Amino acid sequence: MSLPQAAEPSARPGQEAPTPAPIIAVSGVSYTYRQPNATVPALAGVSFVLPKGSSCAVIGPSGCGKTTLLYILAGLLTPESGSVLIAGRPPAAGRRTSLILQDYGLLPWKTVWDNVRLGLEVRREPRERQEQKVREVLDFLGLAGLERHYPAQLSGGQRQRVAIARSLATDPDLLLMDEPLSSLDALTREELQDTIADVLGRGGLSFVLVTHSIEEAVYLGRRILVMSGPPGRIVEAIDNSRAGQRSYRETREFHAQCDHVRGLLARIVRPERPVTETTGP
Amino acid sequence: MRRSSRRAAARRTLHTAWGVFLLLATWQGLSWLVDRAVLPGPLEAGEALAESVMSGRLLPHLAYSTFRVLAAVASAVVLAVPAGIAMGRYPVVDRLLSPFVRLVYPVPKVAFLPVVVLLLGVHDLAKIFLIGLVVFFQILVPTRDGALAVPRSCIMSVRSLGAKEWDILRHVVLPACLPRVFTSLRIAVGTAVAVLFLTETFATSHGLGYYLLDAWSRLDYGDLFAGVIAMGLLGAALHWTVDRLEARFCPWERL
Repeated sequence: MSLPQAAEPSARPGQEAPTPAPIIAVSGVSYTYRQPNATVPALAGVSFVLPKGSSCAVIGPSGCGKTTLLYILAGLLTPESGSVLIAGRPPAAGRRTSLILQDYGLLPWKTVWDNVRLGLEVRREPRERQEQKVREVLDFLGLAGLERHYPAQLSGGQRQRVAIARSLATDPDLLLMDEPLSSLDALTREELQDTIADVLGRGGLSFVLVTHSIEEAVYLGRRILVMSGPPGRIVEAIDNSRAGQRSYRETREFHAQCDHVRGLLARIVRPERPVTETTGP
Repeated sequence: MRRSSRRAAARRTLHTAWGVFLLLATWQGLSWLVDRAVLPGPLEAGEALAESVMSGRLLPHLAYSTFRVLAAVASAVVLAVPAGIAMGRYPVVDRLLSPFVRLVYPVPKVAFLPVVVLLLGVHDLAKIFLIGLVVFFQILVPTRDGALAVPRSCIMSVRSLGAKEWDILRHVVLPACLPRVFTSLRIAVGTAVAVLFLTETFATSHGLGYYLLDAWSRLDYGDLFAGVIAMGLLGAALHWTVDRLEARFCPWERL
């Protein structure tokens, strides 16, 4: 397993920084679920690019193929047509990509410690490195002291932190999250949004966040992909460069952006009714 | 905290003691009601039990029976758990083995006793095989269902970490099946003791089944009940062992 590469030096004076290869390059991807009694088109011609170290929020009505898109990015499903490149290579499960699911995907029979260690264990990392890495992410996510607890003994917010810790422990370049905060109460949710913002702020890591929450998408996605479907396609890609800064949530710009996204979504869900876009208070 | 937990433990022991007392009282009541030598009360039976233990007659038979049951259940687990997991996880294996399972499972396996004895001889192997065969299916079917019921999201999330098929079997499917394996084992040890009795009434002079049959033919009801109690205790001990193993291997089940 390759060790984390040394951080690239930031633009040296008098020399232009080279444009890094995008972490995600998706072009014309389609996917259809073929079941014995039905074929369900899930994605139709999805294309987008995400620069390294950036974040992307995917928002859209239920059934628009958001989760399918994540599975494809994770290398768990193979698209029918189109191409997907993760850091210039075809996606493969476990290769510097990490997936966090809606219901956390924690194993109920493993303690917090063993759940977080799992990714390192299946990659056959040396034992000492496993221990050191688990300790580090547990401390970073404020989970110290819960090592011997089982998931059933944790609150929803703690469980989600453990799921994030498990993903971070493997030092991914790309974090894929499927509505990770949807079942949490409002306060825990905001707290974890801040945690994710901090992770983004640390740099190096890129992520894709599928969410139903407009505020969450605007707060965390430097790029917001608004999807419609089925079959899923991208209706609009919005640049949202201030995402991830804690102060952003209190600005007028933030609320205006939320209203813009809300307007787009309303037009997708109820196309027959014209929606007048509200612009700020 | 400590004191209240100790008190709770004391209360649990008291409840169990009451349970034992009720059992013995019912037995004594029935014995008084029937009022014949064929149904001795718990006191007489207990005396006969103590006598047969002291004289050294009972324990060798108990040892034989324990060995046969343990060997049969252990081999059944070793074969049924991997087979059940393979059937639950791989549809091909399920389709290949299902006809066999569906046809053979409902057949009373003890019907094969003479055949098994002819093929495997009159020794322990035949008995162990027959008990194991009955128990095998009782463990196989729940294990397969357990492997089928593993949530897809669990497998996806572990696979996304880079897990290979072997890791998924080891970290996800096997532990997901374990609680069902233990439940089926609790049922299986009861069945195992029942089948044990039957196999030991045939072509052997060792084991509790033989001991019972012998007491039967001598019309020695005290000895008969000593054997029955020994068999009950054997079953209870096995049950208790399964509970301990479950507590050890499935700690997350009791939170």
